[in-house]
Amino acid sequence: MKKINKYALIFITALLIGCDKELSELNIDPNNAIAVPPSTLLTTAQYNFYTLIQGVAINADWGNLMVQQWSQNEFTEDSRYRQDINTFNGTWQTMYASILAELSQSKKLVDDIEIPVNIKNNQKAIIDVMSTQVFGFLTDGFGAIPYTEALGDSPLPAYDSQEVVYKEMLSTLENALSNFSTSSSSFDSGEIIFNGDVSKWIKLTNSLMLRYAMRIADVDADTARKYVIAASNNLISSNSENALFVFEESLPRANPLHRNASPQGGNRDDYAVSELLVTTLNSLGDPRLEKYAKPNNAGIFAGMPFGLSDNDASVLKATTSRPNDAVREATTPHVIISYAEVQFLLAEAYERGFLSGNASDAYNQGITASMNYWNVTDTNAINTYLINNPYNTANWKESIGIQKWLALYMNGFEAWNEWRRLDFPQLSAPAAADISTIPVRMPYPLSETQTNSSQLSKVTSTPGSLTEKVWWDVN
Amino acid sequence: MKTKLKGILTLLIAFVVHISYAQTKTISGAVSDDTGPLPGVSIQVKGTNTGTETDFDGKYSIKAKPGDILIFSFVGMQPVSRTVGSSSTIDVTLKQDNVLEEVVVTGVASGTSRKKIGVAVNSVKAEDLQDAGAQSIDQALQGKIAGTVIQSTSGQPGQQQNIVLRAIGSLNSSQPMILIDGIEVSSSQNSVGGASNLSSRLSDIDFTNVERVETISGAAAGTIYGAQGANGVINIITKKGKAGKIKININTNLGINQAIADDRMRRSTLHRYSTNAQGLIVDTSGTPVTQLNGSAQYLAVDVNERTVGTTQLGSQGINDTPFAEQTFDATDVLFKNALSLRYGVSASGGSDKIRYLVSGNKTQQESVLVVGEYVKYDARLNLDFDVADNLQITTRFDVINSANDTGTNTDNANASNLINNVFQNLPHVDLFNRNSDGELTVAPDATDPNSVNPFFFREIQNRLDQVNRYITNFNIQYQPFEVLSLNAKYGYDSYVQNFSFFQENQASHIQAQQIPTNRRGAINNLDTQEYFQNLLLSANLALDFEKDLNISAPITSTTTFNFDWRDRFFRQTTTSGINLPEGEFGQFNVNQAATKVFGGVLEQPFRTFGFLINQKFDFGSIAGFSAGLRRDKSNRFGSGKSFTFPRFDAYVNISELLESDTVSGLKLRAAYGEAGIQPLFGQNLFTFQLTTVGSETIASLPSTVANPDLDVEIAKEFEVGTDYRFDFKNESPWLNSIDGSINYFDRKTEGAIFDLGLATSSGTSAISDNAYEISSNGIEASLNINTYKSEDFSWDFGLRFTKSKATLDKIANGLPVVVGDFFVLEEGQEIGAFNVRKVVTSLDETDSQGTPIIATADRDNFTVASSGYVVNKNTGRAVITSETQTLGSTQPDFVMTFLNDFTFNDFVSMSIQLDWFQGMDVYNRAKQWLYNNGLHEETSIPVTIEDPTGTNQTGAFVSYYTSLYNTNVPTSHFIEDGSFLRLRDISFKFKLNNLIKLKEVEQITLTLSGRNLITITDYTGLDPEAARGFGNTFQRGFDEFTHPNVKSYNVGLNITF
Repeated sequence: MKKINKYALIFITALLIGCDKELSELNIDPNNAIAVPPSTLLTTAQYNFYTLIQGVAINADWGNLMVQQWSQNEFTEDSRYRQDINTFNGTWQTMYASILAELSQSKKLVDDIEIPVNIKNNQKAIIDVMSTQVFGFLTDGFGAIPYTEALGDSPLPAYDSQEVVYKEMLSTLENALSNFSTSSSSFDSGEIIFNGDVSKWIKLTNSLMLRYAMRIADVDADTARKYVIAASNNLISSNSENALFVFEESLPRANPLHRNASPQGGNRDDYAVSELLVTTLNSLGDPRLEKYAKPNNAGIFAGMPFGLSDNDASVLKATTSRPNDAVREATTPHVIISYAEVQFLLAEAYERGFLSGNASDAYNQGITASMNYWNVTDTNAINTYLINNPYNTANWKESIGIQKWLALYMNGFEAWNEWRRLDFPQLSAPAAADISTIPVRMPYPLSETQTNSSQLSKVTSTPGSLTEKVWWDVN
Repeated sequence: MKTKLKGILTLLIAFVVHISYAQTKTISGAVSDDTGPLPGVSIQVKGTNTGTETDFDGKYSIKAKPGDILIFSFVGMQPVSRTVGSSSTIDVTLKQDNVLEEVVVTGVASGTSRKKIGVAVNSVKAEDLQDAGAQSIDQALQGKIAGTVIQSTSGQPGQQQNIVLRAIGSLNSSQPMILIDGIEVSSSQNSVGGASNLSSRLSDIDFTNVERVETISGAAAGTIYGAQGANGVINIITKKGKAGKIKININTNLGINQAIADDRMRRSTLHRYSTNAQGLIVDTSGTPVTQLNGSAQYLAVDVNERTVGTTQLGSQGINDTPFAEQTFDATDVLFKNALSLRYGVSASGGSDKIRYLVSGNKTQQESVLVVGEYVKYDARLNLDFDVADNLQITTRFDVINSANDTGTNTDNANASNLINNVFQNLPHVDLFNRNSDGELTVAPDATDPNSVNPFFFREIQNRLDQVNRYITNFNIQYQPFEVLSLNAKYGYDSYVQNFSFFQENQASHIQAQQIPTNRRGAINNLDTQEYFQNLLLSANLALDFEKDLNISAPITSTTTFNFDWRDRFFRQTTTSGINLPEGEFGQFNVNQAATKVFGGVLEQPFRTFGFLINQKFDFGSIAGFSAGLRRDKSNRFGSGKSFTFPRFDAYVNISELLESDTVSGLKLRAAYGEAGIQPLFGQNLFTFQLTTVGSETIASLPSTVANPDLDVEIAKEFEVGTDYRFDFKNESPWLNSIDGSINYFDRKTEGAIFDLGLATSSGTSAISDNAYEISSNGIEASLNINTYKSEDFSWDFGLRFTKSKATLDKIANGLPVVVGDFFVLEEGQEIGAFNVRKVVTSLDETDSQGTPIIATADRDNFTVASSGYVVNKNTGRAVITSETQTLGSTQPDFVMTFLNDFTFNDFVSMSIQLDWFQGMDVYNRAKQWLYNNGLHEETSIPVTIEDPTGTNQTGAFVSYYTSLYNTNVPTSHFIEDGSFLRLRDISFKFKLNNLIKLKEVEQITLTLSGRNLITITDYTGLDPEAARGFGNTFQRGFDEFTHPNVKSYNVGLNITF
């Protein structure tokens, strides 16, 4: 018996030890990677961010509608301002938990790899500029947002005021500029805007700095001036230098509005150009009308009045004009920031005295650039237009406001930002709408009211409000 | 004188001796049980060493004298004593031991007689699994076991039923472990095209050659299975061959199946569209819509907007115009009668040394919904070798081959869901209309650009699931010494599954532009390989204090040591191709696709092992207790961790103390045990997700981040119960015996794993964490009454009752988690609660902050309609909160089954099973979809609304119903009570061999039966029992056009030679 006991014990121990060793070898996931090249995360973040900004939730169902350039033609709830804390729930989540988290991981991975310092700095600077754009979107839309405590160890990040966020954003851009070095490369692949071209990134960063600095010109002129000056010497200076995010022909990577209208997206036909857009373009004699819209079945450009009831809209659906097919082809790019926009920003800078220059010239340059971008090349027509719609320094907000509104067509979010700031063109809420003023902010998301309510309640008691202006939106 | 007496005495003694010697004779006879002769029966002359055994034919002979008592005994049978009389022939029939003597092998460290176990083990015998309409073992078990709730969640062939033993104990999985003869086999369910389209490995398992099924319901008995035992265990014990002449059994069954729909869920018979003078629906130009266009499409209808006073109530129309056109009933159009067929043959026999059972079956089940069938061939061989007196080897080989093309997408309202797409077309649309090419239309109704003809897709799509599976197991039982027995079990289960989805190239169709995806055809292949191994070694030391240790106390000690090891290899490969040549399914494979895409590989390695030590003491058969410990390691736990699970149980057989004839069994028992549930693959491994776009591979973060510190979920369960049996030996044929058991259990799962919601601005929206605590408790009771027994008639009554509730006690950060929009996990709430917006029912209702939902200034614009909902006086729109609330519960309050068996003389018997599910809520999403556009019949019920002028306006206002549709957002109006009473089975068995006596034929039984014939319910969807979310622990009770169950009429014939 004793002998058996001894052998049994040895057998059992051997069994257990042998089995144990193999367990740790099996504790892996062979399907997914533990470490990836940081550029692969950057690609995902860039693709997701620009797809969202150009897509239905932020562009077609919000931006384009808030500035009343498009009208919904059958289901008109968004045009009637029926948004609440559920509307941007998914957007917020994707921005923080996907895009910003991936950018943050990417930056950490960059730190871990063995490459020359200059390349590392270029890579981290690019990632920072991307993150700044994301935070820029979040704060322009929602106002106060988690910034300093976001993406860190704090499970319930505190909210920072928009003022703090903007100042941090501008300082980050400044930092990135000081880290960029054109003598080194950045990402060899995976950076899908400029394919790692640092000089183009420098121009983009300066142009973004100009945009964000001008945004706060009414509330903090000193900071604005400082950054406008810093940005002014290396901006995007022609249409060929436009910062575009190009989509691909194949459907999964195509322009999101194209996908929405394609059979795979459900063959949606929810949008018409608005009556306001058509009448404005017509009254200004604007050659871009036929680029922005498509004639209806009778060959006329017939805009849909904005903000009708579902029924009233669907009655007119068949006879109204759709947006031009070219604005939502598979490869129609998202304009991150264009030469035209830079010129309008400079015009304003000149007007405000931040920089010295001729506002009227810049204004004309901006219109011309926009015309050219939209394939209006007839210089006579453009010149006639410029003569008929001159820059009016006494009402500069109206001049720049209306032209910018037109130039920012299809970049609905930015158009809405600038409309809120410049207050031109003058728009009014539709009669059938749920509230009587046009929304000037995005409602906070349901997930924050549920999971982070202690912090959210410190900045607002009405998270679903559409009418509380953000910090830079004075008057 | 002395010598004379001595002589007489001697003579007398000699005489007596002569007489006694002369009276010892040879007694012979035959011993049999109720199926035939029994070899191997031991016969002992009481009080002597004389003994023998019955031979191959059950015959014996033994020397004994009149007055001697012969004891006949055999394992599993009640021993019989006979006194030797004048006759030299004694024939004996042995009967199965009563339930309390049977040997149980599940949930106990080693095989133990039922009298001596301290945990609740359920047992279902073969004859109770003979429901002719059941197509798989989980269906056959429905309602038979108290505490086991098996819900049929789909009528699609090849799917598994939802099995919950006692109560939901985990948020990841509630699937119990499935064993065949004590060895675990794979019971995975791989998706073949959708969340409700799963290929179940449980349906592979042959259940026609099952001897009995033993189940244990929770951690108290599950400890011995360690980190996989918490959800309970179902152990299928297969029939073995018996020594003797070869016995052949033929079993056939034929059934006709129909979908269960009854009168529930119908489309509206009244509509809101403009009609012409003949009452036909017209489009905006006045043309009747049934005047088809060139594509054989119905023209777009024109809504007849009505003026209702000065209000907007009629702005979307009123559902009050009857159809003048021919209309089609959706369920008539969708479902057809289907045939199911099964035939099988088995042969068994053997000798003392080798016994075998070999069998084969073919099963064929057509679908009631698509043109397709599930065909399965299976065969097995059971061999038992008695190599020596103390060494037995048993082995079993199973081969299964199946092909199933009944798959459809029935998990949501998408374009491939047949049921959804029929219902969402207007009733006048004839989906079988053909266009000028003679083909079915793609988009039949121009009213809705998203209108889809499901039958077009049914014709051009195929989903074929093929499975080849081999299961082998070996069992070696060796007893080197009387007190020590060793056992080794090894099982190897492997299968290859090939699933192929095919869609024809239909680019030449007139409406090709409206085919949403794969217009030029596509093939998607999903190939899966899985190998599962289970090794179980055990050593059992059984010491009788009196016999082995010479201590005079009637105690037996049983020490058991078990080691078990499991290993699983799983690999799934996806490949697809688009742009196929024109042609039908089967003509080509993915190699001919113009674009071939490799979709990736998924591997999930798994290995776990553990050991158990258990010590048991029994005091005779009066009482006993045992205690044990199990320790597990696994590659799914964070590295280097192991978990220990303790157990303890005790019992007392009061019946032994009472010594009453009536109380033949009364046992009280209590047990406590801990068992675990392993984390799912990958939950403890932080990784990036890789996807290939074009030729690039990009990385992204998964939405739920993994947690390297993950622990196993631990279930701690306490159960207390009683097993009882009362025999009333009286003259009356009424009330002969009552037996059953009652259990109470209390269970806590600590560290249940699920996504923990985090503030998204922290950069992670969810992480897998042991953040939940679930508690449940309940009662399960079974009762069997032999109500009446006489020569000509007997009636047995059975009752199974389960009442349990599982509550989510704690979430680590206290934040509720919304899952899949409709369900919410909230502290203090029952598991499986809905997360909905509430339709307001009173004008001064307030939200959770106390703010009135309708501002006081606005109240004049609203009124309470006749339906009880608050609506806007002008538009008729119902007021719905924008906050969500937790409402409803998908867990039933209780589940009860009534079983009745009647025998009329020797010839006819009848059995009836009634299942009753009470108190479970179902979210009727299908109805919600149909509230849009006034499709559901409820939308033509008029509602009365007080308009702003104070007049009552009555009508089936579409704007009211569309507001309840609420753009498909979860809304309280659609939570319904899904309680139902179902006639699960009614069958008549005719023992024809008692009428026609044929030589060689032992029995012929003809069975006529019906399954799921009658359903009584208030639920308004197709089938209250069918719901989405298969194998999903708490996302149940959700009906979005799910495949209803089938009712069947069956006839079967069973012949034994």
